Amino acid sequence: MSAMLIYTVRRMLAAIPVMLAASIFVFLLVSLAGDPLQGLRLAEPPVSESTIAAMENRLYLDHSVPGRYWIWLTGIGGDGCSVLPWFSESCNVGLLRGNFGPSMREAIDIKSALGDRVLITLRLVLLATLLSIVLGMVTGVISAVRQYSKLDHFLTFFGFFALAMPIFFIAALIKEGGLFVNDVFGRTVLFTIGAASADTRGYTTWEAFTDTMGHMVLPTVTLMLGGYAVISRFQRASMLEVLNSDYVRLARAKGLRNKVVMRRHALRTALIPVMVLAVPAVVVVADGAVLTETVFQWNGMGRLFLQAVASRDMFMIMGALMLIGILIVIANLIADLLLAVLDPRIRYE
Amino acid sequence: MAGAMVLVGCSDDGGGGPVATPGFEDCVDNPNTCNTGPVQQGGEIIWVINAAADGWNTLRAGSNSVYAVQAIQGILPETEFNHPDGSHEWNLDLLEGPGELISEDPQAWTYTLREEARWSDGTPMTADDFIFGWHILTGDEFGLCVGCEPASTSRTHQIESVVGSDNGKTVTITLLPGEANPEWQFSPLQAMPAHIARAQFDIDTPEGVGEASVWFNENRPDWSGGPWLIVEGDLETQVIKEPNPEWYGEPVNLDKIIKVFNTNEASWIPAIQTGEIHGGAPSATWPEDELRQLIDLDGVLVGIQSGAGWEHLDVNMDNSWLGADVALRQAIFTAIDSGEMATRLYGDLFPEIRNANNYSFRTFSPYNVDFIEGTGYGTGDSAAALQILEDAGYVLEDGVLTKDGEQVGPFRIRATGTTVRQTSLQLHQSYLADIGIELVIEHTDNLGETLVTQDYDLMQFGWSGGATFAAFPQQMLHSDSGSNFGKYNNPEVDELVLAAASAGSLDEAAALANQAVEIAISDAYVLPLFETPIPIFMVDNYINIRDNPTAGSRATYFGYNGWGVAAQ
Repeated sequence: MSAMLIYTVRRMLAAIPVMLAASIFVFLLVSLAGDPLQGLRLAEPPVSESTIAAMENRLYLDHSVPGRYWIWLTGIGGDGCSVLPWFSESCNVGLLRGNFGPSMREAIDIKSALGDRVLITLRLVLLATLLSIVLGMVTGVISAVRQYSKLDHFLTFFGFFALAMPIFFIAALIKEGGLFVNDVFGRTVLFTIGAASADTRGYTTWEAFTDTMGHMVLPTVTLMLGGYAVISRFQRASMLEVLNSDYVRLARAKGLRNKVVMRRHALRTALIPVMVLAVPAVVVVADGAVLTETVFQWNGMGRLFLQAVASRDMFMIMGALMLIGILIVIANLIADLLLAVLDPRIRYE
Repeated sequence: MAGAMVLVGCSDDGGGGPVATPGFEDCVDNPNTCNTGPVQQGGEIIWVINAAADGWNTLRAGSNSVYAVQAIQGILPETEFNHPDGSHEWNLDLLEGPGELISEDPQAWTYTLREEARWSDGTPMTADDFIFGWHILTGDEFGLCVGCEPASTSRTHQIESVVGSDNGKTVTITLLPGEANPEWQFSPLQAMPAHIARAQFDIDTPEGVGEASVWFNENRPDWSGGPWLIVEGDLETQVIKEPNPEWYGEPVNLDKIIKVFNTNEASWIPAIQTGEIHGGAPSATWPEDELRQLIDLDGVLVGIQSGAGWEHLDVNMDNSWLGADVALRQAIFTAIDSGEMATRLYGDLFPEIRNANNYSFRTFSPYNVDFIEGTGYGTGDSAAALQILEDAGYVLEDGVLTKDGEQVGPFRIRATGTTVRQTSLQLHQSYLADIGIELVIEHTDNLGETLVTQDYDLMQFGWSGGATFAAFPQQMLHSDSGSNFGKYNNPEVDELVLAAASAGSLDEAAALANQAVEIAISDAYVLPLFETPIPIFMVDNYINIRDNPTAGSRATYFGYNGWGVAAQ
């Protein structure tokens, strides 16, 4: 078995206690956050005690906190769940069975909701990440190569500006920019809410495509700027380090043309750390997506999470947090493996 | 008269042709008919609902939010509705005539359905639908449904039978012996499509009814018994409605209504400019900054009026100081200036903000009696408050109130963390400092637990009312009620609130409720502060849109059948 495979398996095994600890932390955090049925207890006209009791039962609130955690984790003791078969359609709770539990919003299936929303968020996040990486790399390299030039100063200022601005503020500015563009065109070309127009049933494929693109522009640009700023600064630093290294100086001393030195020797090496940064960058951008989705009213993971918090939908909150945790663990694992593949200096014994 | 509605926006045709002329101006004098005018056939509107819906079956407790009600409004058949001024009207699209009270003991009444009344699949509407709807609205202990988790059972558990006759077109509802519902005309039942349920579940068994209730909650209705039919949508993004082709009543004007769930108030401003939304009547929020921006937009109308919600300050009667002495409570209520408080909080946008003066009836109710007038409560008259205290043996020394040498308080005053409530608490603190009482402000993010555990000395929160009122005094004031959080106990009030809940008529119930409220106010248990304003906004070329503070469905109440684009 190769060293890389052993390393991969070892890292995956190490992730298990991490996720277990995360599950305990997440569960306690949510359990201590208050009574999910508070709104019903104060409803007017009053909700009957039998209804409240039935909902407590459905949400396992009639169990002790450790008991509830056990059910959430394993599903054992949950409605319709048994030890065998471990996977059963009648069972909707038990993280280890791939179930997230019952939602406060009875009509919502948490697993489906999370699946749908992750896809919506990824649509936004992946494009924004891709654009931010490309733009960040290009501007970072240009800044490094033309260090202390007017262009470098401008890009540096712009990068720090994007870094310093809270994402919701950037979103608001970009929204205003969108309205300005619409004014210039005299019609709506950049949409400010939602992932699509309200009713697209009669649209042709092309109309639906342009509508979707029109809705993606503003939130994608918003998210892209956040990611771009980080990558651009990182790329600049990385490139400068390489440009000042001995082997580049040697290449130049040997009389190699500047273009060759840059492309073959400097850029290749300088891109490695940034490429590795790309994976966690997805997570960083996804983090920004929470606010961006809220500002632009995208029904992605961010809005789902905020809505779950607002309605104290404990299983939904826990499910979303665990899903994010799993994605972060996977992203870090991929980043480490990518580094090993790209950087010939790194080998795992 | 309805709550004051002020026009704080303006319409502007911008040279683009005629616009809807009435707008919201007329709503002050004519709340039921304002913003009327000729409409053209066709068109669509995108209406904002400011939170997602929790489920499709609003008869279930977990899905009975105003947002879900607004989302599905126009789907369920309604025997009656109430206008913005609270007046009641029978739905004569559905019924042959008004419901009739046919017996007082046991209380019984009938509805006669029109022959034309039918579901969107053409199935006639019958008493079966009302029987099924009744079963869905009962708790497990009643034996008609297992797992229905109904939103409320206080009225449906009074019912002994729902019976159909005349081929199912006459529905007779009979209450249990000794039970009475003075608000019988505000139907406690909701007809649901029994034939759809019966096709999948055995709704002759309690278990089958429960399963059907869950199914209706989880599945978007592709059926309708009202003017609109949901053709697309979900609980997260939007609901698209088109006219129900089998609708048996007055035709609707618009071709389409899209109700979008949009929680981000700031996004409404650019969205209304780009035509992505056309209006909304947000619930349970006061988006002051957004309202100001909407007011400044050309072609957008904003209306604000008194809502059904009201803020109040409650006393924990188990507190040794506060519970023991009515004079102390009266002095506290007198020292608080609720008028100034309301003006500071809302007066800038809504100068007509009104102080609440009754527990049961808002100022726009015909049953409202002002029980605060003459008590001195809410006047901020610290001199009068000190006089009350002095007469009761309290002494103010060096800015500290004492009795028998012991300091009164300090008291913990609590509320949730909204801007309005936190500002209110600071004002309470300053008012009571004038009479030597120290208040310690504590936030709570768990209102229910704080109230239920009486973890406060003074508490500010809100109640929200509707067209019905008879059961509310019992909920709020009866010594055995779980919602009597401060544990007020007055046997005379107990008797009155029970009598109000089961009075023979609305007038009698109102009179009894008012008697109970008068006593409770003189006991200084709860200080009504102000009526929470509610906003509505829309692009100015829509007609027949008006807010309804007495309905959870707000502007989408039954009258929204008539929504339309202004005729050119």
